[in-house]
Amino acid sequence: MSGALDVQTLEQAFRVAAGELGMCDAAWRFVDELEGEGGAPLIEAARDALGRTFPVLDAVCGRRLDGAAAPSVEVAAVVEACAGLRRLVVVGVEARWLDALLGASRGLDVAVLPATALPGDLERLAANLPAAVPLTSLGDFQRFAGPRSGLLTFVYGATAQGAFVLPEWVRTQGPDVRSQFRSFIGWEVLAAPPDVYPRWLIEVPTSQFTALVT
Amino acid sequence: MTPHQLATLVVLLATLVAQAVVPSLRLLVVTTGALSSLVAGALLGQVAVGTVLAHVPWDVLVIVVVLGLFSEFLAQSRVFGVLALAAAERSGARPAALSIVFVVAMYAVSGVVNNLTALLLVLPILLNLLKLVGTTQRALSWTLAAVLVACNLGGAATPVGDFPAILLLGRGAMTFPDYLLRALPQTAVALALFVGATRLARPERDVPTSRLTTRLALTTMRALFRNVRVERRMVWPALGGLTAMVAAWTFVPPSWGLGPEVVAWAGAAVVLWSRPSVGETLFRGRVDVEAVIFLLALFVLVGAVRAAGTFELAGRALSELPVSPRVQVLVFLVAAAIITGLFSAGPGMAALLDVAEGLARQHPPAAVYVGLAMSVCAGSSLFLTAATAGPLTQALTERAGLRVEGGAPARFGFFQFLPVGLLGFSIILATGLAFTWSAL
Repeated sequence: MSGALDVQTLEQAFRVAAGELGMCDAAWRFVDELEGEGGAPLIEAARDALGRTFPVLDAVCGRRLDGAAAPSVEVAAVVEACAGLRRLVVVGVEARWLDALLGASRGLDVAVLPATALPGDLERLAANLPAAVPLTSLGDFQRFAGPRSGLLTFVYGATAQGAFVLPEWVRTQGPDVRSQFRSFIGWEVLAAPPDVYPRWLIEVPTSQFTALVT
Repeated sequence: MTPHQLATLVVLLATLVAQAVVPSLRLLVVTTGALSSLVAGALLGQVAVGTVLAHVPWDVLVIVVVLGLFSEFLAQSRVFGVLALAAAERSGARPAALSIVFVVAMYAVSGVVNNLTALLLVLPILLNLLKLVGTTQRALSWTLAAVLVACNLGGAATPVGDFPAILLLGRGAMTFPDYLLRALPQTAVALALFVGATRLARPERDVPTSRLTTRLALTTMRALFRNVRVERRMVWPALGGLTAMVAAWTFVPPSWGLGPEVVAWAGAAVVLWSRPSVGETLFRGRVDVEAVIFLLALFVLVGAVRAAGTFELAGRALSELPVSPRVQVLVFLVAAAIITGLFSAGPGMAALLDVAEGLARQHPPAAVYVGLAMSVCAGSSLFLTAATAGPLTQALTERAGLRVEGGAPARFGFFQFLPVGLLGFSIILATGLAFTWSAL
């Protein structure tokens, strides 16, 4: 079946999508299209071809082959975890989760720190956010620090011991930075850790989070 | 030739060659050349520096600056991104259709917006689309080159699209409607012939396409632009301002003394005042200083040569060619196209307009001037180095990290552009010559 699949174009396209939408969001969109075009065999072919390069895509393909539908985003628990915060820095982008959070977090000043491993167009990324939500960077995000400030990131599978996150999250977790923020929230988007080597991701202790929303 | 004429001409030619050979130092090269020409004029011809500077067409520089700011303002409205998404939808993300839609769109946009601004905003989206649908080196080269040629044609289609036409308008050589009514049909015909010719070459024939790739491309593009909306508070003032400018350029009588530069200045001011904070930011940070200094230096260079009487000599030499006066015009237009191909549009037009003024005294001026604009457009399309936006396109393509067949990195340089450039040059020049011949 992989003969019918233009692997190079698929990989290039996934990089474009994941760079701005997030790996998990892009993976679900791709899996939907793969299924619509060729069903399970095409999903399997894509997983064989690209799964090792993109472990999140591999995991999402696996979930779809197990019969899972695209996840419906529930923000209530995240909003609850953000209670009492005035400012929130979101580390990384997962479009459908971020859009839902921004729609539900009135009264909270949010900034977004995009991941850089798969680069996207930052101007378009910013244009997709409400005008009041700025982009920030690792050199700049501490201006959002304070006693009522929090950091949130997307988690790509977690166990009792460890959680897989973007490398940028680790850069925000130095002892000097942790003392400047009140909450450290993880938002599970993948349900289970990747089956293959977690390229692009880093495992951190689950205890690092003051709240882990699954 | 007097030593004065020879010295200023040598300085002009040496400067043009040097800026074409070392484009990375072109500002330093042209400003040094301008200085040298002023010194040569003063020492050998007793031409006062103030006399040359007084003949710099400041009105043209005003138009370049204010229309550049207008383009930047329009760009900030995000209208280009939304249009690019519409183009992707319209083409169904099929490679051949994508190429045609973007070529036609860039022709239309370049008529009113600075080429560089338009390409800077649209090209990354086109390159992203090509990543999504997949492409080959040949298809990529032809698509990008065709977009560049279309930008040149769009720039020549209206009096405010690109520098050569702005120069004609600013110097009062032609009125706005006169130029538009003659140039628009010529460029439209040339565009149709050019698109037809590129389709015959079938550059996308080896691009592997499938329904899956087009579905993924469209799904991804919609997601990438899911919340991007045109800033209506910016786009409406911009469009209103543009309409008012076109109306004023067309209907304000010359007896009022309000030249095209005043109209452009007033129109841009009204547009920028509609969002004062944006307008101030653009004025402080986005004025195209590089273009202004480059053009200013060129005007000084050409002014020094003019003051030496060299253009009159050239005009006389042209009129003494042993061919009919109509053929003399065609010879001039072909030479203009080649000179522009070698030196690029700004220098080409600045130097050639003085010679054209001599021909315009013997023939219908509009035919000569629009013929010259078409020749300059053809020359701009000959080599990647001559196209206004050529280096920018090259840089953006390299930066995009696009992969073509076999996983090789995509390239877009002089030789990738050349076949399409030759095709565009031939078609545009032939179209311009045919229209000019029929109008003489």
